Amino acid sequence: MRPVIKDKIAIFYIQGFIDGNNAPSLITLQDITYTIGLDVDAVLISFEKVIFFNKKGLDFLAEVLKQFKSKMGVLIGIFGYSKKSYDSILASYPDELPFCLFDDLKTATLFVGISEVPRDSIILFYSKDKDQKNYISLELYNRGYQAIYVSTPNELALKRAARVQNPSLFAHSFEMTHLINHSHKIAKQLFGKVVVYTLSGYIDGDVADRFDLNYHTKSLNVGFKLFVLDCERVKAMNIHGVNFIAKLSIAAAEWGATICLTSLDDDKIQPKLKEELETSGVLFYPTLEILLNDKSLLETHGGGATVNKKSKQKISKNLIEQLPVFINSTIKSLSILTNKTPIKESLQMSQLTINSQLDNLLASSIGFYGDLDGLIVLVFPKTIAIKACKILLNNQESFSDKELEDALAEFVNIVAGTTKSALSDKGIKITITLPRTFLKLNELLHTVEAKNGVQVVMSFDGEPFYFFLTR
Amino acid sequence: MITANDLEKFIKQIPAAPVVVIETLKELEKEDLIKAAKSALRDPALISYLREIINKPYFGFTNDINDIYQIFSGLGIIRAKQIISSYLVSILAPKSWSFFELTQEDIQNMQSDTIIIWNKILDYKKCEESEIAISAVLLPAAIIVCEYLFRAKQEEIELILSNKYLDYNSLLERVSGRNFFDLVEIICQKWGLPIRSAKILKAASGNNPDACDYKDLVYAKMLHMLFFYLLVKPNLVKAGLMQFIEYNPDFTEDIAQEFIEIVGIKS
Repeated sequence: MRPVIKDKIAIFYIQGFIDGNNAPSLITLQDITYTIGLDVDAVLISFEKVIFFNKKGLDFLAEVLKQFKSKMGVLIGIFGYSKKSYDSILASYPDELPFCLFDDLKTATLFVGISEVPRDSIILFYSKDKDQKNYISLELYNRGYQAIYVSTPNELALKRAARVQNPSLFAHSFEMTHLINHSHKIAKQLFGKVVVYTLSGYIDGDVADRFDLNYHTKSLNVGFKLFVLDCERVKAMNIHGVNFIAKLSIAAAEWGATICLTSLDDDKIQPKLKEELETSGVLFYPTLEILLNDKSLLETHGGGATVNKKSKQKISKNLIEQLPVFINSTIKSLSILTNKTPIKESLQMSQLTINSQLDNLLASSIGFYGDLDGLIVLVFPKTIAIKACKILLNNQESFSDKELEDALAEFVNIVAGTTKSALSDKGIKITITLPRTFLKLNELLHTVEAKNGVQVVMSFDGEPFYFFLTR
Repeated sequence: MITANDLEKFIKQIPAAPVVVIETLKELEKEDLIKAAKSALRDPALISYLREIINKPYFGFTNDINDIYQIFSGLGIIRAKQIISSYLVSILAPKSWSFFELTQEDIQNMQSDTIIIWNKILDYKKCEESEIAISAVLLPAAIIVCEYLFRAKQEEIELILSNKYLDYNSLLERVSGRNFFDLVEIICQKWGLPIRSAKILKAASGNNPDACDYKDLVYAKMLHMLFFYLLVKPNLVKAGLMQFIEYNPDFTEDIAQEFIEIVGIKS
């Protein structure tokens, strides 16, 4: 089986009875090779639907996970087990666990990938192992959370019960988590239009190894303009750390993006080095909170207010030649999901021009790079978005904005996946970035403002649907 | 993707049950084993199928039984109905598979394993109801229906599922409003097989517990676990069956341990 990718984590959803005989058929050599080629921070196996496993089955899964760790340098682990299974797994490896254990996926995302739990949230946890208690506390702190250790499972149960009445007591809790050593990527989170990286400890040359440059580049590609490196947990920064950040800032400027540092107090950096960062275009803010409340900063960096070299890049001839592939992939994806085919109405080379009421429109975008690079943008009325995403929304009649956003992201991923497959048949290789969704069209328009591209207007069930391809 | 029209087309193409099989089942309904055996004699494929199953070690016969009257006598009414229903399902199976990487032999083995394990459970529960006995043998029918409907849509299905974790049964329900177990119920109606059996199978999908009577729910839960137990065989996992339905731990929580004990699973 292939893993499902979510928020930079590859997850194998296995189920049923797992033993040494059938485990190699669950995750085959082809699956392993495929996974090794992915750009993810972690590879996890879900035990949520595992009924029973024996030691041989578990050993096989452990070996597979170890392969991912050694070849990809990612965090590896298992999540979603029962208490009985947790005890059984620990007993199977009394000396040293070869993989991490997480109560559930949400707990795993506290330590890797992109978590929905906001920074500075209170996290309650219990662990019977003293070393684990210290390790987990430190990891949570380094990733921007407030970790509170609870001394007994009963106390945790009481606090969980109290939270039912008062949800603000803490954001999340766990009690069956076990970490192993792994190379720590710098934590990243999204705050609306802002990407926040949490730095900690001593910032020197090795920050380059821990910084997810792929993710950063993809974020620039899809139109993020404001990147924050929060230094609240930083002890000190030397010239090597400064050089790295300065380079990031200069590169970001080509995209019209800005790097900001928050909470970098004077005692953490030499004045001369701070000047160097200012010269390279880095902005300084006293705290992350102050930055996130700076409305004028956020508005000018909501997406491309500054015209820059990158946005002036013209759409290339190579990209135009493959335009039919992009359009047909979009039509095909919509047809697959809705059993209805949109009709092409018009095509023009222009900036994105919408002739409909903006407040009824949603959008999603996804970038790609490789043999071709660019950005696919889809704009449609909410009614079409719901029809297109109906299968992905489980035919629900009502859903939250978050559910609709997730479904839109999956939809544009399907479009990109279809495109990638069609281009691959022609010998053209591309890599796809993470999708972005826009429930308010103004946010999208900031991103693609002044970008030239190809706009195709289609009609679907009597309503307009916009496809825009740009660089 | 698959439309409601595709499903209607498929339903129209479901072949009628062979007359010999219908008549044999009617005699069994009247509890006349001799007349049932006499009727079955007219279908050599049915005889061959019965011989294959009854001579498996589970049935406990020290020597091979080939005489049709002895076969029916050895099976009894309930088991005879069960195995003949399984034979009907085997007729539905395609000659070659493409969506699932299965062979005819895989399906035959799956059918016999299903019968053996299910009967072990029924013996343990001291259940002597033919409709419950038949419910498990309908499980391969749901897989066969999936093969027919999905084989021409492989690329589209892979595209949707590359971005979302969804089992095949749920996917069909989302795109068409019906799932494989609904279609098996229609097949049962067409063939005159007990609807109670089809309803137990429907509930056994794990996401429709109200499909069967409350008193049959324990068997639906056991059947849900049975499907996943069958997948201990690596060839069935390789075939892609692990994604057929989604295991529902909440549905089987109260019987999981009992199932593990009955089938004799050891750590």
